[in-house]
Amino acid sequence: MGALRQALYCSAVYFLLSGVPTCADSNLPASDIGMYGAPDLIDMPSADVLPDGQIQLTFSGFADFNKSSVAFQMSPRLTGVLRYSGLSNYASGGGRVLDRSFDLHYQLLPETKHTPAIAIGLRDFMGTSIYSAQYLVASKQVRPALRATLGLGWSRLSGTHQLQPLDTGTGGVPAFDQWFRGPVGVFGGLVWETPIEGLTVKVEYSSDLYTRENNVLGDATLSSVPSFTRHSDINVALSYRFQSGANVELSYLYGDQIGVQFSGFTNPRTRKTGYYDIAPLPIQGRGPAMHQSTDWIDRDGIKALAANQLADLLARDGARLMGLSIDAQEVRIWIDNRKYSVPAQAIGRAARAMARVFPDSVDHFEIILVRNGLSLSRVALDRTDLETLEHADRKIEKIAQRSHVDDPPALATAEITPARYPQFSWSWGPYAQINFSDFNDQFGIDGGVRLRGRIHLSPKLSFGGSLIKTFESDKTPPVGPSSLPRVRSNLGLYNAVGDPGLETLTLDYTFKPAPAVYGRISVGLLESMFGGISGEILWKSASQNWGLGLELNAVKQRDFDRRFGFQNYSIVTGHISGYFELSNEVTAQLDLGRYLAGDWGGTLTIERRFANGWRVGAFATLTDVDRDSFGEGSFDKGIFVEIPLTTLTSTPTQASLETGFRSVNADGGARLNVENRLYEMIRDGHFRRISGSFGRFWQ
Amino acid sequence: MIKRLSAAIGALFVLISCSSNQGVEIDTIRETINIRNASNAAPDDNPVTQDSLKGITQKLIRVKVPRKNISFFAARIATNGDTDTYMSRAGQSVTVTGAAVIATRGLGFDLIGRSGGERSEYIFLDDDHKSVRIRPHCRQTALGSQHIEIAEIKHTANLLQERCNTDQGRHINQFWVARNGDPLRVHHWVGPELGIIEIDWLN
Repeated sequence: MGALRQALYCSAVYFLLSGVPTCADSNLPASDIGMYGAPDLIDMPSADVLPDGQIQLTFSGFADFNKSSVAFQMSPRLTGVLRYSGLSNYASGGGRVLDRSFDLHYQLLPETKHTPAIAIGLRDFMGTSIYSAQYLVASKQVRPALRATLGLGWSRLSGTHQLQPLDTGTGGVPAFDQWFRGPVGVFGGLVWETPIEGLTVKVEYSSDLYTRENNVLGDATLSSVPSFTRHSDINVALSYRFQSGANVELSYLYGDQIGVQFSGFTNPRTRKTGYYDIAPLPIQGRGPAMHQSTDWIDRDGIKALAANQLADLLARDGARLMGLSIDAQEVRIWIDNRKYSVPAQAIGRAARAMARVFPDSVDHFEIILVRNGLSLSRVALDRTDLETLEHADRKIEKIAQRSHVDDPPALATAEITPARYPQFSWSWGPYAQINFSDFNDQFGIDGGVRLRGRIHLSPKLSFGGSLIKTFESDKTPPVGPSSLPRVRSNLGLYNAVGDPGLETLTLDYTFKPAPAVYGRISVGLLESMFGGISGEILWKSASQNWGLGLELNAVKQRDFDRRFGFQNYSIVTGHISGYFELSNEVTAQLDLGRYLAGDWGGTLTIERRFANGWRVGAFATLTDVDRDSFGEGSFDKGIFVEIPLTTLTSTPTQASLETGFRSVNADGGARLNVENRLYEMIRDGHFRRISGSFGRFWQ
Repeated sequence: MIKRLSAAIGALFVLISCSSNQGVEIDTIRETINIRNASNAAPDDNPVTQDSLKGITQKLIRVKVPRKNISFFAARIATNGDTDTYMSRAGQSVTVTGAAVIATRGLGFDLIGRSGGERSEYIFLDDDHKSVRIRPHCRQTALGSQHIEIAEIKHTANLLQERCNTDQGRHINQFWVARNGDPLRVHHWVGPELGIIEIDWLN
């Protein structure tokens, strides 16, 4: 893939991520991002970190090398970087090498008035080690416009030709025993913010000798033609940061080469996009307690009238009234929120609607969130709290404290169930995924249009599917023999023959055998390559921060035309899954079981989900497949980003864009892509997500 | 133009004139929905006449947000303690305590709440749904009585002025209050994005 095309892909992802104006209050100038896409000087690291939650996309290149990097500030001090690099004229005979690498950068100590920030880092710590290096670095603001960095480096940064050995296999296994070993190099530099706003000058002393790129040691496996002549240890750069946050940098490297860099960022935490929605109904204060008669409850038709009025009000706020139980002092409703991506906002709107509809004697509200007929959680509120807190100081914190979340009664216990069936829904929209191909070591965009339709025969039983038409996809057939069943490596054939194609067509049934136990059965064309039957059980209490799941699938491989036919390959797969909500934002998921190719292993997924719905995560799958069969990296891994459209459009919607970087055609560690997995279905209705979103309760 | 204005106010009156909170037997809910369903009226800078207000008993205000070119009429649809909430046909709302604006909704960058006391605190939400608080330093000055005209009625109002400083800059709040304490007009800062909101109490 050419550098230009790679740059275009990077730019496309950046603009997808950034959407509308990027954050304005980032405390780290984008110009402090270097060639590696991390908090760097130019080619050397610094001790800085990005603002918490920032997603940074960088494209850089010089001589025969280019790098596309995505950095994510996972926590206030921990930065992760995924990098895809192209090295022309690297391998023997001038061959091009494409390489994936991961970095971790941790700020041990933040900067104070008298002490510098200190950071430790691992570059390329589980790849093929082309860029492998470890460092300890300090940075300090020494003058109002001058920042200094000094560091120690190992391996590639050691200032010697003694590098960590290349993993000539497939990479993917951290070489713990080689970290911070061998000779130590010194590097450092200065960053000067010029009086011209946005313009920065950098100078650095590099301890990277580019030993392999210039084949200084005469390695027969490397190109005999040097990529460039390293005349100097000094690099200089001019950076310009636009007001949008995008940054361009031009550098003169090693006394021989011109380097370029483009960098842009977005931050889910600090974007300022506003929020446009109709105002919620205000709370009308009730009269004195003596007027709170309960006679109304005995009037004929009063409950049906209340249900109709409440359904109308809820519909304006995008919620469907699924059920209702009315008492003179207490009302319980079941709602399916179809509008707000933030559950607390749907709860707040529903509570306000209840306060408008029900007479003064009703003092206790219970709102039960429902999805696909499953009652997810019950939020209990006192009407008096709504009245007294609506305009109170610290009303967000107080209503969060006084709202009680627990496991709900089933919808079947509702006194009135106004929803009528069957109900039909449909949607269409674009999709895009940035993929690694393990065949040709390329990456590209798999994108197109998806049309969905679903008919709900009852709250829990539905039938529907999706059609896809790709605009851009990898149609490359698999190359060479495979020791594994081709469960994913035939992707190119599916894209070539089955386009447009029927992606899914399933009959789905959900159930809840106990208050904290959820179940799902899906039958049909479960995903674009497999069909069969899938069953799942999940145990997770609404107020519990962990859950356990079991999934079993008996599936058969579909024909390439993505119609109704099947091939001969069939398998039973399944996983035991553990879900751990480590905080309101961070979730870890561990899946252990059998994958589609019959391999056994596990997948660890860590994700951070911001209160506004942005989700950034990474996963890694390791199975008993031998490393050679797995391909580059030795195991499947990738990152994903989900962007709620509401943060791009500033209007309420549950739609989201999901994209990521992952391998799509590795046969090892391939899991069935069944839709409507239970944890994804229910998590928004549980305590962590609700409690993390109370900021929108009053909006 | 006057007819259009009268029609707009009249329509708003019809929609809210039956507001009550006596419970499900009162058919106010659909009216509330209608208010929120109605299309947003274009900003109308024409002066309000007494003719156009004739027969309206519901409290009515005219709201302008000059920085965002927003202008609408709103009727009082809820009272909770000492706060009144006014809502427009298009679903924008303003909540006041006396003449002070304590909340807005539907304006884009809304004031989520405002606490009183010696030092007011303005609360906003960032895009991560976290509270952002701004505490202006204000100095109040009573500027005596002034003659103002609202909807063809001349009022003698006491003008109270607040000169405030925040990290985002300076602003001036102005409150015109009738001798009996009723609010007549306010120009009130409601945040760095919206700036000053201007409200006239029309009846």
